[in-house]
Amino acid sequence: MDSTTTGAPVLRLRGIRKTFGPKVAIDAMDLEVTAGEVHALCGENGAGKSTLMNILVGIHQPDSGEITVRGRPERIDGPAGASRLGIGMVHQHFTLVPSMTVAENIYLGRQPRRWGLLADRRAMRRAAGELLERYGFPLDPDQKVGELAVGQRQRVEIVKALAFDAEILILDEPTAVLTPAEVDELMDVIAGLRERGRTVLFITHKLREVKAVADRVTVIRHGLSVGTRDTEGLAESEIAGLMVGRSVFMADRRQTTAGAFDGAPALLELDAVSCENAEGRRTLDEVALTIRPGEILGIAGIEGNGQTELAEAVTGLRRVTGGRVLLDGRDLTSATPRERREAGTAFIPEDRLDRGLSPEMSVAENLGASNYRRAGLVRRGMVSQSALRAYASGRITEFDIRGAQPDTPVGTLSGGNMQKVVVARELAREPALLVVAQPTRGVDIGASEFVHRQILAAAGRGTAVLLISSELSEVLALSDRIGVMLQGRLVEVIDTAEATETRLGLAMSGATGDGTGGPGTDDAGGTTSHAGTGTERKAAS
Amino acid sequence: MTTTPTTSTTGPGLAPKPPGPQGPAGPTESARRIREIWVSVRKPLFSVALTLVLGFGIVLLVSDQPLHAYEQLFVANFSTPANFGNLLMRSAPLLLIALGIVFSFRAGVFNVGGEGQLYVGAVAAAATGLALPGLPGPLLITACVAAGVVAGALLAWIPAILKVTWGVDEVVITLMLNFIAILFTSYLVANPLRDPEAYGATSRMLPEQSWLPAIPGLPTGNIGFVIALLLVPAAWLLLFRTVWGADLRAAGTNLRFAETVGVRGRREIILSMLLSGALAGVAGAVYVLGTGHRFEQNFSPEFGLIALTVALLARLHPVGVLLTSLFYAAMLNGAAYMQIATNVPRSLVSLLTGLLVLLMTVEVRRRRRRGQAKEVSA
Repeated sequence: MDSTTTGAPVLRLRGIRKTFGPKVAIDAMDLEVTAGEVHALCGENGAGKSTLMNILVGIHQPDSGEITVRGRPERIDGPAGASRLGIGMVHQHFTLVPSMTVAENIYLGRQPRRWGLLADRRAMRRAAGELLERYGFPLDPDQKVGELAVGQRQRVEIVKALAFDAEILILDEPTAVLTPAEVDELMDVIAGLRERGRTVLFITHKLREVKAVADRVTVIRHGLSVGTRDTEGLAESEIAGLMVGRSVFMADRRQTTAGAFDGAPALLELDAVSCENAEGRRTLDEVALTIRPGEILGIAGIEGNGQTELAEAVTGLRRVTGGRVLLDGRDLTSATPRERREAGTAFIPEDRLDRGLSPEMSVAENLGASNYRRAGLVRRGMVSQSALRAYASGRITEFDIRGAQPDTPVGTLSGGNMQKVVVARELAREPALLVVAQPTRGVDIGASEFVHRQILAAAGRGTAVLLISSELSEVLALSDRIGVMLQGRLVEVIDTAEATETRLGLAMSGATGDGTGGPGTDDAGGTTSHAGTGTERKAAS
Repeated sequence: MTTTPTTSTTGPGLAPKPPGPQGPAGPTESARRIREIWVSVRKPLFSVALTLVLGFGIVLLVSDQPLHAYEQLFVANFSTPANFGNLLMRSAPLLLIALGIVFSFRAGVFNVGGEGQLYVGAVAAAATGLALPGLPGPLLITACVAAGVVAGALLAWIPAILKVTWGVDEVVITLMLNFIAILFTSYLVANPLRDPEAYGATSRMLPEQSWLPAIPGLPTGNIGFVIALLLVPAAWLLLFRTVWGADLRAAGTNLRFAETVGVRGRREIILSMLLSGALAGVAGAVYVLGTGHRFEQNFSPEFGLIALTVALLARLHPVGVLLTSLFYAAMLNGAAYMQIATNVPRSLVSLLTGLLVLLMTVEVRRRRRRGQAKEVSA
């Protein structure tokens, strides 16, 4: 990272303020982006990131404040105006037409014309091909966008923004929709853009990405910029602290627990468990694993490699076609979800709105579900409303579920607070086994930290935890041992002390790497190893 | 029509409340309850009021005595004890079937077979009454109602078991079973159960000790309505105050959530359908024992279908069902009085009920959108 050239700011915001009715979205925002740098903009959900971006591309007008582009004060009156100023935007949700080709999408609405009327398709295809080549994107201009993978579509979106000489490219949470491998490739793309002299403003709330690719980072909180820092030598916990306004707990298990469980009897044991989907294909292929009381087994892997099936096989929500599931020595292979819960299994599912909650029902009823009798809320056959309300209020306080009253429909809470409801309900069961899938997806930093603490506390009380996550950093930070899922198989289970992002990344992608990097060379968040996996993947494909 | 209940699961325990910054202390318990109830009833009340106003406008156009017509439509129901008794007995089957619909729809099972379940309940009650003429009154009544319960539940069990075993759509099956049940009971009453001395397809009269006793002071009303009335709080308690009710509603609002937290979804589906069919069967028994005193072919003016509207307008809430069934019964009976006394045709009632459904539906959709907006801004 040598490009911290402190030149003149190409883009400068001073005291930008924007309100929507009584709600202040942005309050006195300052931002300075230097030409040729990759600048990350970080903040929790609702901090004002998206509003700021919409102001930069002219979708919203600020109530007050000044925008300076290349030293000249400007008024950006719309996306076309932004484009004239050389500002291009890649939205989080793609704006491509799936039935059109790559070239057509790039030039949509701006096709080269022949005789001022007919679209010059040949010129368009040639220009699109040149653009794709210039940025090193191996895409066919004639291919239909609908046939492309998500990561490829995003490149089309990037090229579309660059096609009209955007000098400043804004990426709005570009990694939200990508697989880990695609994220690595995107990081390379961004680095490549910087080499070609473009300025990139990169919005994210993922700290790993900030460290990986940005030169500087501006953190915003509650509509205010709280600081701009060089990323060189900046710890992730510092960025997180700026985002939430206090110091943040970053879990790290590996020093404390190495070897702590050797010799203990297994609480959960899977013996060659297999599942098949409707077409008879194996979605879970002879998975064998054990978890001991108090141990956290992390399962890493690119999504769709059998993680969902694994969680459902353990919790009884999916029929197992082969193998055995043993809990504390009891064979639960054919037990129903209810029987398994009664035997001590709790489950925090990957999608809280799908399996985790009933959004239309109240917070109290979502907390109470399956816990009514256990929590002593049933009096003479009836659920005591005062007891239920008191119980819910207790959990709301204990788990810091914000914006919630016992009667609030749970679907109106924010993602992080909904997740806390799920966590509160499941942990109230004092489970022997906790199955957790994607516990912090779509959850802000404060809530993530809270959920992580709860998982660690449960393990501390002796709960065996099966933690499934596609966030490598999460798996690395919380687990005692780590397994990797690939095409329905559990391909590698290693102690966290021996795990590095490189080694896990190789296992996730199916490359039979020798685990270079060695133990202990890289800290919980992982900093630079992505580049290695990214390039190796590209070379392989 | 079958899609609306998913949006209208609001009971008093669930009334939406703006998550305002009122702190954990909040308002007092009783004030809170009153506010909740008001929030959940104000929109239906407004819809009813608007329907009546618009309906009055129509009456103004077609009649030279509009006030008299409206008076007959609503006030005549309460003008004599006999009229009032008729009103109660008209509402009883609606109320019972609609309570059953509440259970099935709350469980996410769309039982639209109330009509058929009503018929088999009625014919079973009649057959039992005719078969056991020697029993004393209370025993015979109990036996007849029990027969109605079993028949209705059995008919509802068929679509339930088909649904949980093979995923067969219950709407189609319950709807088709209506025809089968009506035609089957027609066959029964035209052949084995037929009263040879009567003109038309009716059964013989039931023994007099099986007739439901009248409500004191209301010669035309009988304790069939009281039975229905007592089932309202029972249904409410079962649905909103028991673990089983909570499980049932969990299954109805999000079946995948329900199975994740250990609710036995298949069991809830079957139980809710059994209960639903049983209540429609009681409605049939109450009609035979209290009003008809025998089984008549095609005796129902589509009680089963009207009850569907009654339940949906009440937002699948037992107490609401009591009010809407009385309202519908008042409209149905009042229409007859109105047609006799004035030149306004009774089909005005179809128009008014259609309007009411329309207004309530408009209102439901608007609420859903606001719910989403809240989520976005949160």
